[in-house]
Amino acid sequence: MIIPAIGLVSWLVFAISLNQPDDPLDEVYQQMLNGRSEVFVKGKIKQKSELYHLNKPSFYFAIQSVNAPDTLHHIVFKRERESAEALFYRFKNWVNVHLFRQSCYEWLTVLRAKKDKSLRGKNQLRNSLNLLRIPAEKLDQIPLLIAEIKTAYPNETAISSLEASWRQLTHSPNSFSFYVPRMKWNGWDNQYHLWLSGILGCFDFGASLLNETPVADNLGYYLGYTLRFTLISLLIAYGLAIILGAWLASASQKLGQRLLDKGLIVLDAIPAFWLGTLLLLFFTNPHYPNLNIFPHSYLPYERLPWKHFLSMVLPFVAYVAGMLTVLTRLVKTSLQQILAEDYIRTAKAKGLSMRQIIWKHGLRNALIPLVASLASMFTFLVSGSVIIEEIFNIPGMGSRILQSLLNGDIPAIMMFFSLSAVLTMLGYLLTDLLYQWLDPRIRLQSLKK
Amino acid sequence: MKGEERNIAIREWWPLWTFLLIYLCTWIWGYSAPESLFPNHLPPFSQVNGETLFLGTTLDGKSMFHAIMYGGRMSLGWSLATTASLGLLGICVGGWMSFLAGDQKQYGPFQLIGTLIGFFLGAFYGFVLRKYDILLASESGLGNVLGQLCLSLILFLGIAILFTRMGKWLDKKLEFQWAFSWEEFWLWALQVLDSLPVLLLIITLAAVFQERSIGLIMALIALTSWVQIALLTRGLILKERDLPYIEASTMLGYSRFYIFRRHLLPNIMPAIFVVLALTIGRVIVAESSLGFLGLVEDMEGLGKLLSISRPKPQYPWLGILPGIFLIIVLLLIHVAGERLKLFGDKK
Repeated sequence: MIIPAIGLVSWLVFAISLNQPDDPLDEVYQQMLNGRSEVFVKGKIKQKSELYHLNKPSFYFAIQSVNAPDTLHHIVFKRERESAEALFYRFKNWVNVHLFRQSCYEWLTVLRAKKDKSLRGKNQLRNSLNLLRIPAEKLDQIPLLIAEIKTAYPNETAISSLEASWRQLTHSPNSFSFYVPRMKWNGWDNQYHLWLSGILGCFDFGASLLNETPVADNLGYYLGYTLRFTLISLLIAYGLAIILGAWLASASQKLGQRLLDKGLIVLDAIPAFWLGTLLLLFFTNPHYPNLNIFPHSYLPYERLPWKHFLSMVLPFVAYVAGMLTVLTRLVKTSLQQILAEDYIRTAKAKGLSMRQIIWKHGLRNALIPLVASLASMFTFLVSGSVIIEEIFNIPGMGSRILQSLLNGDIPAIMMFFSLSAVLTMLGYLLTDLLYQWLDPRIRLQSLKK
Repeated sequence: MKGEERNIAIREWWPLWTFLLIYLCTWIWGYSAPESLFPNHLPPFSQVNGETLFLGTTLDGKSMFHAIMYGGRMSLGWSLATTASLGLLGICVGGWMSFLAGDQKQYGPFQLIGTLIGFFLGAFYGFVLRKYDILLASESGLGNVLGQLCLSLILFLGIAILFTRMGKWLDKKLEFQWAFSWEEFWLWALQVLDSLPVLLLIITLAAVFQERSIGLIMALIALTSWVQIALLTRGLILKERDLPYIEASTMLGYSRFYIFRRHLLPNIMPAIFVVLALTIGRVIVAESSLGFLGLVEDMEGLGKLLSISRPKPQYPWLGILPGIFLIIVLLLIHVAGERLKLFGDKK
């Protein structure tokens, strides 16, 4: 069941990422506007489209009309592609759209051959390039743009042919074949297939939009920090919850127990980000010299080993506090249920002490619901690590994903999201397996099925 | 007697009344966004022009009390609206899934082929050919986009359902059908949706759409947290459905919808309200966490108020006071949830 789920999630992530408004080639477009040489621009386009698979169709198949273009994906500029598509859906005739684009390109080569370095040349170069990338809602501006270019460069045959092709496009006849559907098979050489096979084959999540290095470069480093903090705090939280829950479940109603019960409710209400802020404000604040015992951000081991351990205390407190209430209440309620059972009464009658009963008989059975909570705790940790790592400056996955969000680095964000989705799903799988291993009744049920 | 009952109601439900009172206060004192009228970051109980600012001022010279009230009104209002809508969605889906339980539908090969063809044609005529219309409408306002999308959806569903029905009719004629239950598929889909890390999903979508507005964030929170309510509703209905009084009313000839509305819904509502109360708390925390991380730019909520004052250790009250308001609200919601649970158990 987990493999189709991961497939579904990967497809969702990819479909979402296709809708990003940014184009990795925007930078190249700026260089084109500034009049860089054609050889340079072409080389850059080729390099970038190989890096990000820009000249490939996006999915295995596409639904389109019969006279739609086969090879629209060869237009590597995103806005240019969208503009061409909009022209096609507006005038319903790809041949004329193609002729119009062709004459645009012819005019561009003429314009480039002029090597006009004046302001007029620059403006008209921008206008001519804009002709090809007008957004869908502004298609009516195309004749205005052509007229502007014509006033700047009168008596050019290329412009007259451009005008003629535009007129031909706007007067193109309504074709019936536009309304006939067709399923286009793109083959294996598509963006989704390359992305997924890169991940599954060699753990390659694509190149970063920032510096073109693979996004998975330092992944082990970040993942190591996140896993270290989450797993250790998971252990601490479960240990504490078992001890506190066992203490709360024993029948005596001491003042400390009642206080702990109320305190846990308050602890549950404190959001992680405010707890982190409070801890930072009180224990790392140079204005309170008596309380200022911890460093205010994570410090690596190499420089100051003692400070390294001190700097890990507050993050652990924040992590554990988020889970402690739920877990302790779980242990308490399940222990209370078990302590009411018959075999506990037998144990009491045998003369065992309360401590022996709880630790030997009670806890072993109370562990089963605790194991069931493991998956949701893991999900909570993966989500919560974003906030806690950000507050305490831990160089883990969570703070990286926020940085990629600020930089607009979509491939990195896709990688972090799909990794954490897989991690949480593996957590669910692990919980199921542990559950079956611990409770023979469940194992028998699944065998019967 | 009646007055005594009223007293008991007030005493028993004090968390709820206090919560409503606080919400009313946020409407009174936080109706409009506070302005920077005072010196920056004054400590609590400082006096300006003979006026006592008993919570001090924020980093940019707004009265802290009014900033908290305004932020609280925004955060609470959005969270309540979101929870209401996601609760409604969850209950509807849960109810529908409980109808599916144990229900086996007859399927055949022609229906499968019909569905595939209908899906393909519906997608083509509904969405591919109308792409340009939808794009154009997106420039002229949200209403137009919704209208165009509805038209596309109607076309898509109409064509898909038409072909499916035709296939089904053929299957029935040829008597070539086998049984299949959708229940397990939908349960699996809901569990996949439930197991996604919500915060990361929201960050991913916010990055892709490059939009950091409260509307998008709340829509995403709603989209990812109705699943638990749906699963709970389904479980409750399935448990309640086997009870004798439902059987009796089925025997009396009432329709399934009537039984659902008159008998099932009132009996499962208390348990759902408990979970909804917990959900309100979770939504408030999620909303203010995202505001704290800087994902909400167009609203001065509590999270943003807390995040602005984060790197200022010399003015600790800036980071403490908004949090205290948040915690009071969350505790009240928690206690109200506990009361509701007790109330349901007593019944």
